Amino acid sequence: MKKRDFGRCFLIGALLLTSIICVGRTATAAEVLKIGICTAQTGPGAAWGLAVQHGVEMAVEDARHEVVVGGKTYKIETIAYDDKYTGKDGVAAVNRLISMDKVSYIIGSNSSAVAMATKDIVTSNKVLWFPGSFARKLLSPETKNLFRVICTPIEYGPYFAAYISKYLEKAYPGKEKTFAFFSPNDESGWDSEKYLSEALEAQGCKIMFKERYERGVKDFVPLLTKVLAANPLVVDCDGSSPGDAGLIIKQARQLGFKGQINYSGGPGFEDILRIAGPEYSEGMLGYSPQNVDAPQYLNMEKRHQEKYRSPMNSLLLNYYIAATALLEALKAAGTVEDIEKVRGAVENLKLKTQFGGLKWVGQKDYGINHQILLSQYVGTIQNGKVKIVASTYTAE
Amino acid sequence: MQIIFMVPQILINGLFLSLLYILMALGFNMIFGIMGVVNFAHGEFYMLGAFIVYQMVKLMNFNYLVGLSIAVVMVGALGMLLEPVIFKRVRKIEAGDFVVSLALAFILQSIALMIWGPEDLGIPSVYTGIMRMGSLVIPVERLMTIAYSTALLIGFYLFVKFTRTGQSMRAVAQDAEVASLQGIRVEKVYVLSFGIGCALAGVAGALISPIFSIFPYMGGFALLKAFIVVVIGGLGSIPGAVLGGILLGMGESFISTFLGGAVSDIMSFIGVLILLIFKPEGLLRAK
Repeated sequence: MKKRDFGRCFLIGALLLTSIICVGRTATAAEVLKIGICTAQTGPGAAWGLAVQHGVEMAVEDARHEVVVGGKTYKIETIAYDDKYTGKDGVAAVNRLISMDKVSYIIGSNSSAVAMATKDIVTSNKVLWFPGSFARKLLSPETKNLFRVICTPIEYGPYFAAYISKYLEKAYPGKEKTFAFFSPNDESGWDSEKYLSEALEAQGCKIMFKERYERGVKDFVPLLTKVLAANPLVVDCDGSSPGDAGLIIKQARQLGFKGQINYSGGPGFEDILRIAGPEYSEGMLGYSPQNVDAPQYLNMEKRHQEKYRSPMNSLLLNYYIAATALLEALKAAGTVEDIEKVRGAVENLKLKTQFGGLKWVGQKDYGINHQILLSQYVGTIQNGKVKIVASTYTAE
Repeated sequence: MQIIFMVPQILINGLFLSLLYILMALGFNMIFGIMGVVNFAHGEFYMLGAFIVYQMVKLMNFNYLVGLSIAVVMVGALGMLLEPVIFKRVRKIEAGDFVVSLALAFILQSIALMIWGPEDLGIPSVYTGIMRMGSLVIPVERLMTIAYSTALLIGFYLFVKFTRTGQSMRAVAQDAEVASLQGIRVEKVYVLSFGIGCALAGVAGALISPIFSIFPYMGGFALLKAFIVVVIGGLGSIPGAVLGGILLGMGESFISTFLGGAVSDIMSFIGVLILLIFKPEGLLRAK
């Protein structure tokens, strides 16, 4: 074969091969629905962050990794990046999802620092977004493509505070209901502290201390020394991460604190048990977004343990419900490209899962009904096990 | 009046922190003082010490003191292995140890992440109970940590001051060439020093493992504290590390208690800035 002929054959072969790859890719791309996940896979927020990722993955698994929209079958691909619970890494993660992976649907983060840092990027790119951050400023009529998928202290605080107040009156009769709050020194911590303390004060409780600490601090004894000297009735770990809450509880008990310990800022019973141990966490009361005693929850927990070989954080179900809601909305809208239509479908969604109903509220507090409202519970730790002691609100 | 009653408590809290910071900084300072190596992976040896105890005690049901001993030996041995295999080869390259130790830090973090996962872990309290003396409340666990740390520091001092090996280390720190001429095997001293330095970080991690939570990125925070102590006390100075540890630990304890944790961190860095401006060599310069 002459050199010239060889060269021609090579060129034709290369062109053919490139065409096959491009056609194949185009065919594949049209059949894929990408769902982006921005969440803390590492660092102090990982307990909640992994709940976000696993919740979405398990919902996609239950949908058999596909969804039929407008008569077309789409394979669902989840793309998760680590925001490390910090604004800087969250921006990098979201930029990557939008610019490189071209996703139109993002679930997470649950970090307020990440959500506030990425809000403008996400909203200006016509992406439907389902974060779980507590930051009040996140939700407004201007962020119409955003749906918050966890209840914040504004939603659950009044119910939780009412229960706690009655509980303290029964368990500690005649004692003044005094609280010491421990909150991380960031947007999540400030918001949680503000709304929970307001809800408790409305029930006649007195907030003696509002101690703030930098995330990463592990020795809470200096803060506890001052606080415990004033003898509050309740130490509340507020918006601390479950790992930090476990340490606060352990160190408070080691310093001889015998009063009530609460964890009002979010779920994390299993993580607290792991860090503080059953002895120190006995009797702790906390907000739970899920009925952790229900058979369907226990089945999910078992499934999570088998799949991921770690205990499930109950926050996972919020993101399971969020992902399920998104898929149902896509089906109802009949399109994956028209974000406005999908948004409308989410707003009008009537969804009832095995974990309860879903409602969108928020017109009064945020100016837009894009705040999820789910059933709410109060849990405790008894003899090393998590137990639900009250249902404070039931979403129909 | 209440403040007066809190002072003994704050001092005990500060003593606990000071001893941990001293252990971390001593190892770091020793490696720099003898070898001239700034070990950015020092925090990761602290992290490894904690995880090895977790593995031994929580997962394999070893006794805590046995687990602690194994952790110290393993981390020290790892240090002794890494020195000739990695650090020796980059000794003559400008900023070689800086780059290599940073890379090592990332590698060790990633290995810990793969083995133990990203979530905070904990081991059950080893010593339970509280000791009360008037208004002073000392958890027995912290008291034992203070006792172990103090014993280790005394042992370290005696080793460096009175043993032949310790004297060799001091000689190499002063002048490696002259020490070599005196018959001291400098390369052996380097290996041993690196191993002991890492072991000191490992023991600090092992001691805090039942008290704080354990996670792959815990070394960064510890390294930062070691740096601050070393800047305060003087790079390469062992007495400086002790003084710096005490100042930082006590300072943090008082400021955190009265002004809060966030202010305490700010004050630490302001203090470091002021010191760098007016006394950049630290309070006790290395001889």
